[in-house]
Amino acid sequence: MPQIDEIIHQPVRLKIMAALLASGADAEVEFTFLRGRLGCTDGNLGSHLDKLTSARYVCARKAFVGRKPVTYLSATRTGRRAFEDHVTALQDIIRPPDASNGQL
Amino acid sequence: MDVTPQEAKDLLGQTDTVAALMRNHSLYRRIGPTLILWGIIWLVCFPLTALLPTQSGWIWLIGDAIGFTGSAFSMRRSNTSVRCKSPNVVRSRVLWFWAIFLAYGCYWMYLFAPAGSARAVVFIVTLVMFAYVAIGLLARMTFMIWLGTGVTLLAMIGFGLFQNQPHVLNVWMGVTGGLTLLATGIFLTVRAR
Repeated sequence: MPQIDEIIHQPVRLKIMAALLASGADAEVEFTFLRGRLGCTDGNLGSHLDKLTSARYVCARKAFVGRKPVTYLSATRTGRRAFEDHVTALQDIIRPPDASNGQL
Repeated sequence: MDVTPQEAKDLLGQTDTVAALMRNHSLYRRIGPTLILWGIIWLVCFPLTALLPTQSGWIWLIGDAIGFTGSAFSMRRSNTSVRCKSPNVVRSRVLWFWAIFLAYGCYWMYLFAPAGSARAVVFIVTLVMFAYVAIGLLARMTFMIWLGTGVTLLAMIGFGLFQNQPHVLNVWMGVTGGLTLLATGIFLTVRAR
């Protein structure tokens, strides 16, 4: 049975994972774009991303667009699985007990 | 870790909101400029076909070539903040789909609708709009379903009014269909900002 993942459970980190995974299985999202969409500050987003990258849930790639340095973020396979398990665990919590075990 | 049902519900709600925001942004940024381009092509090519009916083949060959090249370019450029690691695969699939679909459409038009007739105009427009609605249903893009249905209705109304005047029907399709595509494209592009 999937368990609550303490790393992903923090609301900002949950939103980061949701945003990265909703962009597509093969997608990577620019740091500044993600910051704007989630309404975070640089520092706040950076610290949460550190936690997610340490857990190998998110991968950060630095690149140059023209002369401008850009950081692209993508969810790893481990991150995807952890997020899906976490969402299932949350759904199990809100599901009435009858629905999960089929008993009256 | 103790999580109350209300907390779980709120978190899932936030997750859904963020996911929808990202999906829509990505879609709108890709599709908006393409619709603007095709709206302009319709606005130019349909009335030109009415003015120069004998040159309609050339007019649409050039219009479609500009449309396809521009769509490929716009799909490539619009993807700066959310990038696909294998964009060429996706882009070429989309372009191949439309190229094959239009090739079939041209052949069916040759079989069923005489060139230059009002029937031919409405046939090709409704065929393309059928693709919009089908893509909208398969990819869960509500705006594509509305756009496809709306332009199909405009084509049907135009056919009802001007079926004996193909040149007027061409102008009707250029203005109503072209402006609808253009307005939708502008709306999506602004929403994606």
